[in-house]
Amino acid sequence: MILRNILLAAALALPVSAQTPAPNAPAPASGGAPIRVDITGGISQPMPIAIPVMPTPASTGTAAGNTDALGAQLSQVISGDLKGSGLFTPLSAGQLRPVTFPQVTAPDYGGWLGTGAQALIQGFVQANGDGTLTVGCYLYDVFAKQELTRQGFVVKPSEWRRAAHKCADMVYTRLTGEGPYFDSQVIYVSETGAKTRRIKRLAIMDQDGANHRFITNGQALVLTPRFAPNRQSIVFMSFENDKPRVYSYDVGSGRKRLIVEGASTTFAPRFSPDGRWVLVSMIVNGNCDVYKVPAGGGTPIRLTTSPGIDTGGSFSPDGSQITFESDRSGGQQIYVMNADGSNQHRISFGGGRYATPVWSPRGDLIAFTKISGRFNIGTMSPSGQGEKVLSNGWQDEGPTWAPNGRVIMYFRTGQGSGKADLWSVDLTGVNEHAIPTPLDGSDPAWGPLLP
Amino acid sequence: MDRADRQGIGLAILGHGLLLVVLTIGISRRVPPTHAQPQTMDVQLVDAVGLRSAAPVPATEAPQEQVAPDTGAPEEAPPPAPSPEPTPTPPRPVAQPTPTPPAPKPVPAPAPSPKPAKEPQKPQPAAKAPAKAEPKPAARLSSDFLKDLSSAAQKESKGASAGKGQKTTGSKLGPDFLKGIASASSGKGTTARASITGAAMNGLAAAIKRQVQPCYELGALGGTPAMQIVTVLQLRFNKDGSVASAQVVEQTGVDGSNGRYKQQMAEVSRAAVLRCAPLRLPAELYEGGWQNIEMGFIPRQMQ
Repeated sequence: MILRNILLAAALALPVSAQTPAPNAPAPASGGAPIRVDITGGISQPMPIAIPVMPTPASTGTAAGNTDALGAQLSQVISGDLKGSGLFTPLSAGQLRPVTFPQVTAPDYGGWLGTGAQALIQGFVQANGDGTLTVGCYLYDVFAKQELTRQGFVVKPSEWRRAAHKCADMVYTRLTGEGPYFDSQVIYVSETGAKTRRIKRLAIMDQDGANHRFITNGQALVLTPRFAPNRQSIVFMSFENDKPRVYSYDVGSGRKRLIVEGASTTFAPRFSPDGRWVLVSMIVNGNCDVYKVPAGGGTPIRLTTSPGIDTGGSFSPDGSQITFESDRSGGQQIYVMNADGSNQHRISFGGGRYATPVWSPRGDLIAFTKISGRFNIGTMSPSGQGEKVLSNGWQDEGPTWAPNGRVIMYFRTGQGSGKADLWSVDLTGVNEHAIPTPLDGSDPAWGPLLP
Repeated sequence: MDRADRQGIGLAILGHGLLLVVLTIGISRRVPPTHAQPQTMDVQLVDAVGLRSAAPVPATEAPQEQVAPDTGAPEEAPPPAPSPEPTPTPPRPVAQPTPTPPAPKPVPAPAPSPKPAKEPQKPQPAAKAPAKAEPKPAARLSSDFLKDLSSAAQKESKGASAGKGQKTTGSKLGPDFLKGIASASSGKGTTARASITGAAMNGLAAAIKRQVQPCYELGALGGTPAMQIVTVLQLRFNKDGSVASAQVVEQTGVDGSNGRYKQQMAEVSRAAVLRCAPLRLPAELYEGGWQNIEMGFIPRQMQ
């Protein structure tokens, strides 16, 4: 546990009520019901939000730099997070007003009204005697002139970015009603080199692209890395010794082991939500089926038996169902079955083929790659209703969900070039944007929220 | 085949040829039929009509004078002459012993400070108006408040006559801007208002809708299951159009998929009213009209 909330500060469950109480308000006009006015059709556009530089009570040098400079960096990271969600438009630096330390808890609402910002994030950064940092984070409603919520975080100087992500998560959660996701990591396959001799390495980074590092050295081709729910291990497929196999990699010890012993080719691994099982696709006697294997090793349990190719299993968040793709009807389509393999039924009936289904952590949607000429990312409900295509590229595939089930990351391959990049899109289909990676990137897997 | 046959066949061929030519010309000259463009008309289904239909009784009193905002004379051209003699404002029913000069006072000081905040005892520029208003309290203003203002204003007017150069130049509010409020609530407003007709009610509802609509922004909630939630607010307005209170009466359309957005939907609804307030609505329709209204917020566009 690196972070601990110091203020907890119970997100003031604001009763939506009078901005100014009117105790002696005149009694309602006698006679008849009041007029009823209906406002129909709301505008949907990003919310303007002000994130001024966080002041410090005393400028102190820390391992992460001077607290003065840190205050500016913190507000930049928060601003980048919220802007990246596509739901907010942070004011530009020129529109912001300087904030003094006493103003952090007593904002100058009148001044901020003129900037057009609807919400205001203020905070402070303070160096503690024991070498840690305290970052305070406050969210204000500029029009209602109210504090909405506040939180404080104590972090090691090396983890100052996490304090910013936590602050952005607090704001995002309070204003959108969605779960947090900024304080999370992404694992993906970093690619470099010519088209015929690609070097593929596993890499891990923060959700915004910072703190990037490589896990494997690139000697063997690697594909489809997936986090365990506790982030302590990673499963992936590697072509080590020219044999495609699924391996489990322990993050703490750096040890690697085969998930399924034996000669069979295994691929497309994914953990169950409780971390006890790993779904893999295994080819036995030329027939590819979905199996589940105990995460600690053991005998694979066969779940599908059709003569077609069944692959790409993904558990529902409650662990009771599995979605997978199968070509038993002729082309690839999405199916859902119970966790024990019973009640297999097809859910995708639109035009084209469907692949790589992934169940949302919220349980209400399944993301997939739709193949109809182009490759695009889409979602549908677990019953197959409400199909929606979200991305708009030449070849978009391999969706993965943010921990809150609101954002989807995937990789886009350019037409002809074969160059792949990571992209993300909001569930509403807006704000499609590229995630910066040092080299090319493919096969992203979004990890759970950090503890 | 005899001659008659040949003639007959020749005639038939000629006739067919002629027919072909005529039809070809006909087709090429053909004017495509024009379909009448359907006339579309906006229809508003209205159920909120007044129960009684009555023409509004015209007010018998002279209307309150509204003072236009005084934006101040241009600073670079102050009249060098002394203060113009005060002209009493004509039909003001409220007694007004100290007539307020309608024109901005000339500034003896060459460059008056444009920052009124620096002068500690200076009240709002508007304070002069209620200086002589009766102590009878306005609906939303306490008598203490007026007293403070009047004493401050007297000080200020003394200061002004002594050439201190305190003027309202640059203010967007005229010196008399509070007059309407004070008089509306002080004595003259006791006569019964004309009852509000159904037509006036509808016009009022449309005016409120028009003013609040642009501020109804869903932000991050657009496109989510939150769009199913309809929020109804109970709103109470002050006479100046500002919001006195806004309370959630009910929220419908909440189910398992969107329950987590309830609070946010209530907040964007309330924010819509707060951001677009104060509303500009006819003062004579305040009581029994827009003083107390119910507002439904339906996120989904009805198309």
